[in-house]
Amino acid sequence: MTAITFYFQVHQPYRLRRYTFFDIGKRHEYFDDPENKRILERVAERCYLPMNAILLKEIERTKGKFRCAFSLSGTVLDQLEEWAPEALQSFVDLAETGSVEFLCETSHHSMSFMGDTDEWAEQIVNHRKRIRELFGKRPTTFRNTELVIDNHIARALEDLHFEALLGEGADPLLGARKPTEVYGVKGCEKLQLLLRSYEYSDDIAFRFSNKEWPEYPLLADTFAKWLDRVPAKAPFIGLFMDYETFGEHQWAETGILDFMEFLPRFVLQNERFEFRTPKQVARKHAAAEKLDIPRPISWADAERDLSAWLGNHMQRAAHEAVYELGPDVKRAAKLGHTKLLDDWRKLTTSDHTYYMATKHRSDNEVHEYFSPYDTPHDAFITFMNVVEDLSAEVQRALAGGEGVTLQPQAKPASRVSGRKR
Amino acid sequence: MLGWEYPPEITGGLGTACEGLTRALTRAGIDVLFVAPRTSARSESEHLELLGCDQVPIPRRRLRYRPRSASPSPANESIEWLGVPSSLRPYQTARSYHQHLRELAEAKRNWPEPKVEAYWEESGPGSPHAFLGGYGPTLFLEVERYARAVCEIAARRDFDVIHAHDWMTFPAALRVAERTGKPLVCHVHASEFDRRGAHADPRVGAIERLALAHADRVVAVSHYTADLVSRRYEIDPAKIAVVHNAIDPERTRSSSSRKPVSGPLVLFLGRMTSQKGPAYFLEAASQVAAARHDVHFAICGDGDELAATIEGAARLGIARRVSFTGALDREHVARMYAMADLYVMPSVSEPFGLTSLEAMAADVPVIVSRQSGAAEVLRQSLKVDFWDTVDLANKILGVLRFPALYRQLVEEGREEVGQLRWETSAASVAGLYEELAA
Repeated sequence: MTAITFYFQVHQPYRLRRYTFFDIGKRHEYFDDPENKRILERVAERCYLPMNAILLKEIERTKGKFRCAFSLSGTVLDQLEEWAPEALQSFVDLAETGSVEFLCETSHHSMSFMGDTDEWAEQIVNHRKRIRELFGKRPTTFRNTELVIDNHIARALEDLHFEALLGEGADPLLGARKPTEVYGVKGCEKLQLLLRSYEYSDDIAFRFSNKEWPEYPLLADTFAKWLDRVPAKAPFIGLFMDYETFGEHQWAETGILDFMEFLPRFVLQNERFEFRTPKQVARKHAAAEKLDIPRPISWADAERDLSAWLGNHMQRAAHEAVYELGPDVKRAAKLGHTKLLDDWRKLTTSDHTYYMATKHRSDNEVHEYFSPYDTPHDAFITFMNVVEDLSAEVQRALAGGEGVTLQPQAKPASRVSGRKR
Repeated sequence: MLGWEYPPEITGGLGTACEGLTRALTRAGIDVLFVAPRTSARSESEHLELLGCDQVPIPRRRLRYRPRSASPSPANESIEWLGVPSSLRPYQTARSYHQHLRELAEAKRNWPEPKVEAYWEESGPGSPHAFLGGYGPTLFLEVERYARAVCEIAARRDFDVIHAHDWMTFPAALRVAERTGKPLVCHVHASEFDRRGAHADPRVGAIERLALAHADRVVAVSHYTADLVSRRYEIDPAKIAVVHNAIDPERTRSSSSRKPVSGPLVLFLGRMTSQKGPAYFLEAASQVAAARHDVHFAICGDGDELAATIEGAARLGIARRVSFTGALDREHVARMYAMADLYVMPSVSEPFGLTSLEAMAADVPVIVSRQSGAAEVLRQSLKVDFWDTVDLANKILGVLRFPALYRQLVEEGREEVGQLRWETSAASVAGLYEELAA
């Protein structure tokens, strides 16, 4: 049997408001709440709610044979709690079926492993606790921000007691090896590495709605037949993608939701296939081989490295500016200035430096699609202005000055119930 | 090829563009006969009293363009250069503008509408009703005289395509096209709406509308301009080809020059007309000056807005922080680039904006307005809406405050501008010629 392993990434950042030099020292609200709310509500309506309904129906129809996994960032959880609690409830409903695995990641979808490993661990531990509270199970599978993996990251995750790690089945990493095997990582004892089969994943995530693509329009039964080309011995096929693929990046009019609705039945018609979550795959199969991953590998852009976030002068300067602030922010938080820590963590979200990328190739379109800014330079200036104000606020807090918020950030009164009401 | 500027006789980007394009075209094996209203023989061309256009003798002498560099370029061998004495001057200085205004008032009082014998009748379609309002009598007579001269030349020469740059050469081009039946390419470097906005001269508008409608193909220097002329003149967008301007890397080498000020220097360089947005530059400068006491500004150029801008600097209390240089020649422009830490082009409406490319080539970061053609091709620049002076000030400060941003703009800007070659533009134009001559 070959397992079909779907993992969907759910994430929204806190985008910054227009924040100029002249706002520094005057305004300490950095995030564009109306815009973030608008986007979150739109995505919930177009993607999260209808897709969750489809997946729930398929799980019920197949009596639990359809399975998949989700990873939700802490920032999107915050936004769902505040602006679309019914959508969050629909994720909880999926968790209750027992067929859906919820993974762990960093709470703020951050690149903290590149800047501050203590902060990275803190974000992971916080998020693991939150996922368990919300969805009922302690996560044992980890997906790092943008699927970034290397030897050190894997080792640290093993120390944090994770059983499995997701990664990109990148060519430079695999060489002649297959992404459909379960691997280990050099330096780790037991941690299992499950890789993304990017050809199949991107058929759905990117090419599906491309009318120039020779295979357009792709039908669910065709795709199921393609999956059958994978050798019968293969333990699993990792179909990892952004959840917003369904209905947001590719609108419902493209047929992407219908595709996903019909895929499970065509896959299950073939007896060699079953749906399994990452945890199930990792527990069932022994690692074929331990991979050596000396340099970080991600799932982004053609390079599959960190250049999408840390590729140019601006990105590196912004990254350094944020993480330099970390120790002082934490000292201030200990004095009760928790809003500063809250704001700072929202600035660690990798999207902020992603908007600053200046690549010239086709990946630029992807960057621009996601960016709320006209240019990467706008993103940088805005971000740096905010960091400067936050830095000044932190210094004032440490000096015992006025002008900081002491009460924790207001949360909506009715929080979505955890598992089992 | 019909154009009204060619170096060293230039007042704006047009002459520079014509030079870059024709050089690359000749390198691509295309023979160019360039007819300009005046040549570097300044003395023959600056007589405003030359109104009797019928009597203009057409010189038959051939002038060879001499580049400033010592070694003659082989590319110049195939450009033939014909001069027509004329008083044509598209752009004005502050002084000439006021003189012009006085003359205009004088002319209105004393002169009847000069006889231009409605060249439309000669050239076919068009409406004599378009001759309204006041723009000074000499300019239009010069256009007419130029047109007649061009017709004379066209009758004696063989060519395959007529390529006309901007409205002043369009009447000539239309007439030649009609007489010879040769295909016509109208190249729009700036439309009347760019130059004068809401105060567009209806006569110029009529010429542009007519010529663009009759042209076999229209070349626009940017999508911005293509969109503008297609909307304003109801030109089929399919007929318009966008050919971006480029830059000749050797011509913009930066000479070293010591800054006369200790702090950062922010540069404005362009004709001082409202179209170029000096008022917005000044407004942003005053905000920057309030935030930082070490920043200086240089405003380089001459034009009808110069006086108002100087007064504005005084009114905003930043006169000591702003230097006005007047118009600069090429050598001094290069020196300004070498001194500047940032170049700002806050144009209200800018078909292209070659200076932003020159600044980038000279390793100066640039901020351009979104209302410019250059904004389409320069990824490695900061962009602002010209009216948003808070954002402009914010971005000026951003470049000056964040070394990473400065470095990013300089390094990637140099690389980007190095790829904007006239060869690419010429290849597009040559493609049009081939299509039309076939």
